[in-house]
Amino acid sequence: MRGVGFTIAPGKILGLIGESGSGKTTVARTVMGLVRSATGSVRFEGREILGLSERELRKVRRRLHLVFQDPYDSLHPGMRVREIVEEAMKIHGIGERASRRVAVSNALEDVGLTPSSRFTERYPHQLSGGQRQRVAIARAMVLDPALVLADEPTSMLDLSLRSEILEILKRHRDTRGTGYLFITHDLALAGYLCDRIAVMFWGKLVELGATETVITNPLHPYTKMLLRAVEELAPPEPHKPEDYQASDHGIQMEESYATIIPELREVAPDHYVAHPPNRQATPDQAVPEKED
Amino acid sequence: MSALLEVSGLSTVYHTPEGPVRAVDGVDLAVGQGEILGVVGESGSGKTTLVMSLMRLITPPGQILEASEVLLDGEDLFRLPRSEMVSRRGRDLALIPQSAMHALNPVISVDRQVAEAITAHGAVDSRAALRTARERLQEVGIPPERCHAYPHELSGGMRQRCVIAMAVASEPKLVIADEPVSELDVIVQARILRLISELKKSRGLSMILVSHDLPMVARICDRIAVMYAGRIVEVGEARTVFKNPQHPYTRALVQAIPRIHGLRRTLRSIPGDPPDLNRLPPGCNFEPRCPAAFADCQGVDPSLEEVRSGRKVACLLYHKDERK
Repeated sequence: MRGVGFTIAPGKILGLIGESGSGKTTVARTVMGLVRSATGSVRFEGREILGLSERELRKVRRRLHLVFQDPYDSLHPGMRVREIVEEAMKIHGIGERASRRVAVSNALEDVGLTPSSRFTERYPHQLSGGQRQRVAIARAMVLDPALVLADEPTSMLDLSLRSEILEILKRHRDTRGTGYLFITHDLALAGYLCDRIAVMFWGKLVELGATETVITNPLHPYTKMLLRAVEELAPPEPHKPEDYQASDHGIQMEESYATIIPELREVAPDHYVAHPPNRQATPDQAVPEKED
Repeated sequence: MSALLEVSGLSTVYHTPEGPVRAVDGVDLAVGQGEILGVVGESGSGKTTLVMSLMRLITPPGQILEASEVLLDGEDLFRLPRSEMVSRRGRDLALIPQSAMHALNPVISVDRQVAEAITAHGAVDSRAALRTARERLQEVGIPPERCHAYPHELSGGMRQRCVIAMAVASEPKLVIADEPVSELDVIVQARILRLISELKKSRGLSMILVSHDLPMVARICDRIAVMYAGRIVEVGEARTVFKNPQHPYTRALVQAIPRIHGLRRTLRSIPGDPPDLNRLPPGCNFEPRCPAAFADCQGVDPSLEEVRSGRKVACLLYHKDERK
């Protein structure tokens, strides 16, 4: 991961898009302070958190939480749901027994595990995948964090359960102003959920901007490639009655490009692109039409 | 279109301590020559058990029920002697498994592995087989200089290409692919699917493609069968099923898919939990989660009936006779 920079405003969702190995998860781990070798700057609520001591970081983590991809791996198999959700409050010394119990059951009901009494005493193996991921979200939300880093939180869930999890995340954003870094490889999903999108390629950001702008007016060849692949895999549109067509992506990128990805440049208000080498875009090519 | 594969009344049961569980429950399917049939279902719907049953690879505590019938080119695979079935696998009926890394032998170069698949089923000398293997690999897009690579030297997409080359090498009558692209990145997914549709055109490949990814299946397949709790609940021409789903479950799935263009602002979810095969409701399996359910649905288990030409749906909404 090299020279990655972005901001997330309170109550906003930034989608970090990229394929496996592009460095998405490393970004989340770095923000959490889990990558010791990282250099640069991570400011959270106005404060530099990169390089903080473990003890200092612990305080920050009260406001900053992670939701992992795999709800089977991320919950302690020997702990009950109540203990899993309560643990963070204990660590941060919040409330006492009785008030914590109330907070736990509120958090569970908030993610749709109702009545919470049906779930508090269960162990993770007694829950379905969708229920586990809700517990993981309840655990992250019980401390009312300002920012949640969600690493592919729905990719292991069935389609019929996915939208419910997304609705929970959206509701927290709308009612409590929680901000998210939503990591995904699914551009269509990001298009649905996120306010802004950052596209990652080989450890660097190659495009960043408002969701609508990036999807309707992608400028970087890699973003275009991703979009075309998604369109190719997408269901047939009613106005496109032709057969499944083997269209070529038509975009060639030399492998060496990966090592010399240039810095992001603002080409339009809040639309940043790393232009490919030897293809310095001339202003009339790259700068999108102003919308008025 | 003559049916190459005809499946009727296929049921597979797992004998568990809590009693028998019907993972596949009375499935009827047909695949025509040169056709790709998509089987769509979520986890636990029975799609992998269906694949394993078709290959006759179910082992205890699983059991394929006696009344099940699978006709490939008119021949009942379930009535063949076991040794005969072994020789049919790979030759008549090839499997593309989910994980390409695990499907390949790590210590044999990929051209030799494909050659092995060729010699196993035909009296070809090994040199000719190796030559054919390299041709097959190039046909699926492996450059000549990469043909003798070992699996770990290839990317995930390249490995999946090798597995496909191996599956089609002995020119099987039918290829069954279980989630062939779900472990790949989206750009590679698109390429592999393009390869599959090219092979369909150039070789008249007949295929069953099993996946949870409804939009992808709608795009590449000729027909779709939707599975829920071990049953086929809807089957029909791929595009029309996707554009105009009839079964409430299919309809709900389609509404849960985000679209990249014309940004959809609401995604519908399906309330309730996925079905527990140990405790299926007495009537329709989808009834507890169904927004369109009415009183009769709790008592009547709907059969898969043709509602219009080429479209079958298992739902009381469409069964006028069973509705009282």
